[in-house]
Amino acid sequence: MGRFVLRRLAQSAVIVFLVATLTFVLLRMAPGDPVRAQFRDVTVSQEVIDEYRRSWGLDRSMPVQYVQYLGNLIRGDFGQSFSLHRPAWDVIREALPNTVVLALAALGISFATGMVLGTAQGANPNSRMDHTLTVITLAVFSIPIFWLGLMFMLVFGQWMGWFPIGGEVSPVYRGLPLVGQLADRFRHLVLPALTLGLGGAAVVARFHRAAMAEAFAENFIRTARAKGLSEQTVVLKHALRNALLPAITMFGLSLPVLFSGSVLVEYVFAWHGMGLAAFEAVGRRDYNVVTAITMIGATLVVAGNMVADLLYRLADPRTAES
Amino acid sequence: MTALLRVRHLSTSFQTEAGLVRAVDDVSFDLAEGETLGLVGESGSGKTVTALSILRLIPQPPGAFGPESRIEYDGVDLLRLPSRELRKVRGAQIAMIFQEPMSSLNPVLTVGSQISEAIRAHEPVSRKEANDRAVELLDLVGIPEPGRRFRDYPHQMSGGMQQRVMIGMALSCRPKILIADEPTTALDVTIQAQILDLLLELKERFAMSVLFITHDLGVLAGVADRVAVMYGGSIVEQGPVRAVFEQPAHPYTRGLLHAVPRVDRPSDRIEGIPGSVPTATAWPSGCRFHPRCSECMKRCEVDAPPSYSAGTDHTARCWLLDQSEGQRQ
Amino acid sequence: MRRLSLAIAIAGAAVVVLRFPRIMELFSSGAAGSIVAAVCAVLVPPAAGLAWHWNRRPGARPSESRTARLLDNRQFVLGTGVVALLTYAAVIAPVLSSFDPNTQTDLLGAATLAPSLQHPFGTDFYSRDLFSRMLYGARWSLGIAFVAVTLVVVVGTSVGVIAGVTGGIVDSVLMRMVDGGLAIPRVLLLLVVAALWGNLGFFPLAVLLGLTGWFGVSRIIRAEVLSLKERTFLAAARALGISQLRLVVRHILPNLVAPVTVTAALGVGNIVLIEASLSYLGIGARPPDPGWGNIIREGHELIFTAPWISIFPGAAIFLTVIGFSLVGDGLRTALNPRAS
Ligand SMILES: Nc1ncnc2c1ncn2[C@@H]1O[C@H](COP(=O)(O)OP(=O)(O)OP(=O)(O)O)[C@@H](O)[C@H]1O
Ligand SMILES: [Mg+2]
Repeated sequence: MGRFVLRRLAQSAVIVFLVATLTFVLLRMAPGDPVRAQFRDVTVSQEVIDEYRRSWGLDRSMPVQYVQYLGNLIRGDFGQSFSLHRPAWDVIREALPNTVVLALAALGISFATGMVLGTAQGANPNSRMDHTLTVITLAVFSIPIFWLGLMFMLVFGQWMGWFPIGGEVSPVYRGLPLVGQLADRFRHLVLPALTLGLGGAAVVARFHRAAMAEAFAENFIRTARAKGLSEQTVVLKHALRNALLPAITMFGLSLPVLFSGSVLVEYVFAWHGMGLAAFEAVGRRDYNVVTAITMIGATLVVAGNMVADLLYRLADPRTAES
Repeated sequence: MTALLRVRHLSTSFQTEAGLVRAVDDVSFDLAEGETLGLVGESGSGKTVTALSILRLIPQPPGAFGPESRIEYDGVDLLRLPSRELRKVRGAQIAMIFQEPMSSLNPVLTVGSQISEAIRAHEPVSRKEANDRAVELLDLVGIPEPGRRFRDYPHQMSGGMQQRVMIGMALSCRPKILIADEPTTALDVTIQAQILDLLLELKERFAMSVLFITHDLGVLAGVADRVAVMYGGSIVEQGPVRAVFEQPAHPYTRGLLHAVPRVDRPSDRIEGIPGSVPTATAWPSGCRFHPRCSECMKRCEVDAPPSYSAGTDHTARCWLLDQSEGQRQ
Repeated sequence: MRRLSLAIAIAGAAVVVLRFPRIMELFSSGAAGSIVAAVCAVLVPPAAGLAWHWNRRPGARPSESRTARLLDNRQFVLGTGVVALLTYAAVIAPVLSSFDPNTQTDLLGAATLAPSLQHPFGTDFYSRDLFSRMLYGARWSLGIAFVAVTLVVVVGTSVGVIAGVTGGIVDSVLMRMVDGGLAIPRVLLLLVVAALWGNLGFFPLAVLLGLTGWFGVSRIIRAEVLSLKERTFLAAARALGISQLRLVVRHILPNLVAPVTVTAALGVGNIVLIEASLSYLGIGARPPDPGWGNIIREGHELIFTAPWISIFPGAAIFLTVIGFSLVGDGLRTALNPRAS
């Protein structure tokens, strides 16, 4: 087990490193100049531009920049943001919690809904309910997520007026009591989290249905029934316990999808997370912020995958003790 | 002896893409108290489906029972019992062990918890009490260090041990009837004998009736009181073990016996009869055995023979018996 | 399938009758694109009618074949219907709509008009006809997806076959590459690249989408090739001394048709979704070119005052994706009945 963890850690580090390098190179290969991007429409003299380039270290050759960047990185320094004139890490520190809250809420919705639906379907394969849910999940799975967000905004934000249509908090947030603040945050979270979570719920349901159906075809289900266990016990204890193993894999696989989805949802709902920050930073050619965000994103994804792998090994008694 | 279990006109079929599979067709037999009935037949003859039908463990759909089918246990028809009542019979009155112990045990639960779960399904005992009894049962079925083995997962045990766990689980609520579906087929030859001995010993000790399913007629000589021979989804001959072995009335039984030259050396497959079991989607017309029968007559190809008496408590479905009756008269 | 052919024939005939003046107009316009669209509009109904007639004869196909299973699969037929109609509409776009997708008809008088008979899907902020933008948007969205999927299939299959057939070090190197490609979060990378280069245009975008999507396919194909290699007929062929190339062309490729088709069908929907996402973020289709994602982007600002701008293209993406999913699922069950 220890060796397995070490190997996975090493693999994850390599992937994060690769992503960082790739972003680093792509940024510098792409058209657009970071200094001009800061000044947008203002015309500035070549001297000013050169001065900025020097102070940002962009005047040196790419390999030199790269080595310098890595050196700083090892000391925990992600560099300065060109546009905001503050450490890139600060930008992340503000955006990361928002993204994590959104992602966790969406994960909760995906897995809670998906597992319940998948269990119900898998326990009654080929029933009318199963067929109906199969069609529904396929449909939900096919809806473009940003469009779903817009429709939610239109229906539940505008027409019904149930939820705010964007941002994390209302303008009056600071004046509210603690409970009011929490409620305010929650109300703002509902639509983005639902948007991001529903597609995932459909994927989880489809996947979990298959896992349940597979578990149900196993001989030990027959044994459980032959013992005189109630159908509920057979489903929840014997079939579900076995189908949970694939669900853990599913969890690992869903993280990258979740992150790319969150970029779109953050954009739709003006949710100030990493996706939105990255998007703005790319527009501004804010090299250090973009690299830092892709690196953090990649870290979260590979870490999630690693945790899923570990959990899988621990949850499966056949691999647990080796 | 009074019959504890009475199976009448049992027909079980499956709706599949390839058509209707009539896996079991009009099977009737009795199982008396304390008796061991051996059910023997080649692979695919419908033994497992018969056994599963008794506890209604056939998935419905695709499975379905014929309208005539009745399975009477203690005067009630199990096929028409509400599932809540049926659950009280499963495991408590009639228990079952299966052909493949490995896949029949849940891989993610400890063997101990799988036994105590069976106890708690039927008796209002505490978890602790059930666990203690599970350890006793493990001891009873001959598992060394039962206290430690209780916490083992199935994959940590050998096939023989797994089957012992299955037996312990089946006996946990002291059932009246044990259905053993080829309990030794998947095991090594030496282990087979041990498991067989264990079953015999426990049968005596718990005074159970046993429906012992096998494709090995040789095994039955030392185990069964009565024998039922299955072919193509129906029982072609049944009677006391001596009678069937010494005066087999059906050509198929004779073929089977021919294939078992020595009772003490179990053979893996029945090789004495040319051809193989036809598929359950398309049984041959008339007597289902006729294409392989060395004594086949014209009428065998057309009409299915009814059950004829071949001695006391001994019947067989074969037109040959009809002829001999005719000649005698 | 028969009913589907009939439906297309009838719909096509209706188009020809109702839009007859427009078809004549296109023919006389002299522009190659218009003439092709008009020719398609005229040819499709009789072709579909023929297909219907041909299929009508009893015993036209053996009942136990793969094709029969496929044509009996409701999912597959429904999905094919949806996909066929959308593609058909995209191809004959100029026949269906009289407006140019980029012409601002009347900035003051005809901006953000709700759907009406004249503008079935309404108009946008710049008074452009949304129905015609949607039709041309279908050309963009579907076109990119088809090109990208072709790339995915070609590259993925080649790499998978090469790795599987050669084995050894080539296999290891290729598969490590594929592992790397799969480990990098694809959409994240696409977002960065598309945002940096911005509005790439049709072919560059299609190539980008295609080249980042073949990793998974090559793995599937490699596994398939390896399992094929185990089978006896290949061992027999090798024993007869048949050359490597012949082996691949004659024995392996034909067996890959089924898995490749399934992946391709499922891939199209996926790419339509990704492309629409990029265009929605403003880093895909180049304005004023209409792509479905693009149109939704333009509708975002006006979502409360002119929701129709966003509703229709979203529904079109949805239909496309679900259509291809149904085709893919249907193909999978029909081609591989055990895995249902
Ligand atoms: N769930 C099912 N669906 C369709 N057909 C089935 C099903 N279960 C059993 N059958 C069919 O019923 C017939 C009898 O099978 P059964 O398992 O009872 O044979 P068996 O005598 O136990 O053979 P074996 O010695 O191999 O265990 C076979 O043809 C089998 O294919
Ligand atoms: Mg069996």
